[in-house]
Amino acid sequence: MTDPTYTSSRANANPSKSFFITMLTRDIDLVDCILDLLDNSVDGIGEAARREGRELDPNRPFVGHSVYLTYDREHFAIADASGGIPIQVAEEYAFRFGRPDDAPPLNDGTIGLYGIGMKRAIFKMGNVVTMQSSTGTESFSLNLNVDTWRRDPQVRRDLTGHEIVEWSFPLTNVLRAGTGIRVGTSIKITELYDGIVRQFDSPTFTERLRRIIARDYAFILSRGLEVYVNGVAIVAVMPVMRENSDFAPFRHVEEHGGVRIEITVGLAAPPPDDTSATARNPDSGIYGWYVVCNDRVVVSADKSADTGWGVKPVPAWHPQYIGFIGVARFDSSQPEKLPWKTTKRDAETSNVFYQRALPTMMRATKKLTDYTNDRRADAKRLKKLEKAAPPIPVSRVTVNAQMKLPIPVTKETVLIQYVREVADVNAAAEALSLVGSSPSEVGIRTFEYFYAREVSK
Amino acid sequence: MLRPNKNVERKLILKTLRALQSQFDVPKYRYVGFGSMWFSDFVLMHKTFGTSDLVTIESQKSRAKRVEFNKPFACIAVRMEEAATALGDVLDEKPSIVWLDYDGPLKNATSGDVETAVGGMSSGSILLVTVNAVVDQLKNKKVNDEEISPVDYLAEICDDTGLIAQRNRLTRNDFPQLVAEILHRRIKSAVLDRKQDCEYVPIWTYRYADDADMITVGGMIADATDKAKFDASGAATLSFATGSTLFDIELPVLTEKEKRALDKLLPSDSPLNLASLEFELRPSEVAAYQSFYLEYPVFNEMAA
Repeated sequence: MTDPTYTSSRANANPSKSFFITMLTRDIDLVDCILDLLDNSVDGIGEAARREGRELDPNRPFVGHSVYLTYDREHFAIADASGGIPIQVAEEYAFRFGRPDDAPPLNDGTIGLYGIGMKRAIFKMGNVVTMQSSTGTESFSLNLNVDTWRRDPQVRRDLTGHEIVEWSFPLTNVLRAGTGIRVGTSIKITELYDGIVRQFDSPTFTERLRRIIARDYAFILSRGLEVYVNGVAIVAVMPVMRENSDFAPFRHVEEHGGVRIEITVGLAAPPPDDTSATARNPDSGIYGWYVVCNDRVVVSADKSADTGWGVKPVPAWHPQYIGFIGVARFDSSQPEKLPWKTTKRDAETSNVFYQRALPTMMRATKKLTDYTNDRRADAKRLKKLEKAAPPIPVSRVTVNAQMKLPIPVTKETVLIQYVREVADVNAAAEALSLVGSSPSEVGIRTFEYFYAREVSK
Repeated sequence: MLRPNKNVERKLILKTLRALQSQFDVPKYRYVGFGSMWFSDFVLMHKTFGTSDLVTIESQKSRAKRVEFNKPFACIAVRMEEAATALGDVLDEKPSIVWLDYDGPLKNATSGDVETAVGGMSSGSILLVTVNAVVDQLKNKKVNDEEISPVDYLAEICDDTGLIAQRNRLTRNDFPQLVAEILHRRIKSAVLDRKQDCEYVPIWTYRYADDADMITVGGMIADATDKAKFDASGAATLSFATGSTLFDIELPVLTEKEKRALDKLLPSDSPLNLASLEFELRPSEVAAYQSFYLEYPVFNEMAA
């Protein structure tokens, strides 16, 4: 028997295109895909300015920029004038699946960070993609048939017979200088998939998309960007809080490790009078916590434990708190530090900066929930005060270390009322030597009896 | 009250259904409506097609005995429930014709009945919705104790912020058309969102006024097979089945004597000569009558 001979070998771990396409598009909503493309357009504005060494107005950096979204049963298209993709970036990074480690660093305020948005959106919607991008000097086109691309494995064997993956998209009409094409990027997707056609055709989808852009892009729209959906301009829906001499929202700002945290909490509308199950209360869909990362709303109107609701000492959400709005903003030039998930539709609550903000968020929530409890004794007067305070957009709230709320005036006395069997009350009256007097007298005397013996000194 | 326009509307819808009968087994459909005390649509369905699977929905419990007493045929089942509840139960994927004939404003149709109905309907089924389309229904409305503008109120009840851009259509004459669009869009949304493989095929868009301006829209929920059958039936070629294009029914209220005088001149290939009549009518009224003289109801037993 001879000794076995050990050698080494390699197991093929190359990815398959079909796997990527399925993985990327699973569990992502069509609206999120569209927002990913919108994020790219927003980022393009800042990147172009940096390339060209231009300063953007810090308050309204996106002013003069528009993004046009159009869709119907036949196509989807997005067009911007946000600076375009330089050819070198297109060749080396823009179409990679995920950001390579050697990619240039992400820049100030970037919101697209995982390098999958554009591919994901394309693969989700349809089979044929036409894209054109121009920086004003350079330009290129991309024509892709996803199905044809998927069938072509794009691998070759090296000298030892091992598979080497060489995935690429074909860039055409590449012009490295002196292009005549206007600055910007346009993407058009046709041969839409069945489920996508139905959504693009449904008025409910359009309404949902409009609302989500209005809300999740509120801060970006308020900084100058214009977005058109099938020709209709989107109007930002910014969280508001009431502020005047009686009311002042809480506002707290801190900066740590390159992340600026800003927490604002206030009352957007008077809490409802009737919170019983049958009461017709205004839609509570806009109230709760908002989490915003680099101006992008990633969580809206949250009423869950993620933002502290139901985590002691904060009570769980209840319609009594309708009117509550809290906004937690995280801004950083290093977007990977921010508490957002890849879909940008959820907060990464284990993030250290988020954990740092949460106790402050909860303290402020508690303060307002306490107020809605206390105000019940004085609701009529306070509602008038609440209504008199004008709502102002959250971005214009000034820094206040303390939340200012009117103090409910409570009466000195309360009414106690309860029901007991007649025989028992009569027996108690007899024991108190009060036979023939009113039951309320019996109630008062029994309370006084208890109070004298067990409470007062 | 004499309601010749409503009466003619019913008959035009029945005529369309008759065209569909070449491809669809309309007599076997389930008919669901709000029969009230009069059951006019139920009587027509039973008499025209022999439809015997009929369900009336009545939400006012205080009228239970009257509804039972007035129902004209034994085969009408009475559901004393809110439409939202009854529709969820009554429609069990059997091909059906559902007519949500609200007396009241648009708000009735935007509270979920359309979606519930569509959710329970199968391909080949037909949904009709009638509402009051007088623009005043948007005025002096309050939401959460605060006065709200007509356009905001409309966006609120329809849950559609896109309608805010339509504020210049909130006039007496333009609002009915907008209501029709809203209703068609709502049904289409419900079909696309809830019925895999089905599309909404609009068939009717009627405006009529016996008293207040009313709008009736309707269409078929159809998969590819039923859409092809629909096209083959020729229903869409009928002059009064205009899809989502507004079709006005504007008949005058005539006395029996006037009706007979006009009938004596019909049919006629050319427009009737107004001057030859012994009484005055507007040209549009005469033209409307000429189009629908066969459907025009005989009200003699009620006119007294």
